[in-house]
Amino acid sequence: MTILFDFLSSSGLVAMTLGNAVMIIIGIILIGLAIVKRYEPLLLIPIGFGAVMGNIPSMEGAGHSVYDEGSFLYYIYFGVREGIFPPLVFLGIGAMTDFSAMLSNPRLVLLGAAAQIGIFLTLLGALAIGFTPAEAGAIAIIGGADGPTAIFLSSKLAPHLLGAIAIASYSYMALVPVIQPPIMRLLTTREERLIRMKPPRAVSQREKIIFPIVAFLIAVMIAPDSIVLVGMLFFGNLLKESGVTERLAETARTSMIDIVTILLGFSVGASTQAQTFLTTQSLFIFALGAVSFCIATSGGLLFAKFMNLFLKEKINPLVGAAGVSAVPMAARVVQTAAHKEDPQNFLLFHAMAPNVSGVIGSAIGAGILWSVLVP
Amino acid sequence: MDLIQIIIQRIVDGQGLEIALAGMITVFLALTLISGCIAILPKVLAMFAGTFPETPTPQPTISAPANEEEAIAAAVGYLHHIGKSQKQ
Repeated sequence: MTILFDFLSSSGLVAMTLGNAVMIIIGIILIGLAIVKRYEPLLLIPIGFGAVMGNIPSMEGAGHSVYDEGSFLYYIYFGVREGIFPPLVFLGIGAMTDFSAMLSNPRLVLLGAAAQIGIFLTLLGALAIGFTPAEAGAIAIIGGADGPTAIFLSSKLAPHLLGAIAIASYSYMALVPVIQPPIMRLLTTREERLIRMKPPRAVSQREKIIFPIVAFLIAVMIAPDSIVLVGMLFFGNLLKESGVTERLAETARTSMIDIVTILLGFSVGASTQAQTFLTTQSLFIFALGAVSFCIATSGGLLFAKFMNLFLKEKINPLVGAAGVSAVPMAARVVQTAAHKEDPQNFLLFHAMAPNVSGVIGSAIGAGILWSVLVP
Repeated sequence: MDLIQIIIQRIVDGQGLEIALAGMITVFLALTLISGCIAILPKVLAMFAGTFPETPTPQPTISAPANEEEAIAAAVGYLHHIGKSQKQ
């Protein structure tokens, strides 16, 4: 009987705190959003279930969380803690990305750079409200709208904030269709939204093969610490475009990225233990993340308008909003917004250019923050 | 950590402005250079087109998956045709 009472006293229900219960509910909400609303289901389901699993209390001395050395989750979390999973995700992204949109209209690349202002202005905001420079850098990268980059940088700069930053980052990426359209309407006139862009030129296979090598060399020569993310991104793209490594490219963009996404999402979710996640800091991280996203969107839009002052062939400023990296969601949102004004205006291909250049830009931004702020 | 107050001095102390400015300049520089290289790449390749002509890459031919309805319609048509032939 004593054994039974001892066992019951160590059960999850007895050891459960209010914080754990709240986090379990948050995890279930994430799962619900993924299934019902189809918001980033490939990520939110692993993260949501991870959050549920990570908040089940365990017996004293027999911890099974990502922070308990020797536990199952501890070893899975190794890939997050040491920054291994995000570059592997980038390899897969590279292997599935077609840079033709960028190659056919190189001026749109600058919109991807302009949108990175979200990162650097948020850095100032985070510093002003009292985060340390390293923490501020990790939070600021949420503005890059790139989950793997955010996880990579926070694992290097502020591992204790990783859970909150990852959840904020993926939540806002999922909410791109909600966050961006009001900003688009606010910052553009109807005439601007109606601008049609000329069809893109055809891009040769040779250009597609040379591009990842040249772009990689330029990026890492200027920002050497972006080598991990940028390198894997362009390596994956070379596998895709070379035409002789189709098997490797196929593996990178299917099986490998799926496996890594499962492990990454699940272990990040499991790291959101109430004791570390439900803090005032997390609330501020979410608030700063939202601001960061809005600034990034505005930066891309306004820079497109600025470029139009000098260009004969005008850019539809909506395309600038796709400079936030959330690929391809942000480009789709641009297409939807343009389509509402003019059903014959097709901007999806054009929007993919700042969208993919935003991925490169945020990876470079992460490299810069890492090199400057690493404790 | 005092999270309620927004203190500008913290930005100065953390060299925030310098980092933000350096970061934006670096991102713009890198992407501008990439953009420039992309712009001149077709011209450079055109210069070498005579020496190294681009041969069309053989693409793996993937036969379109048969539409089930079309396949059924074809089979029904064939059987109908066979039936007619046998009657004649």
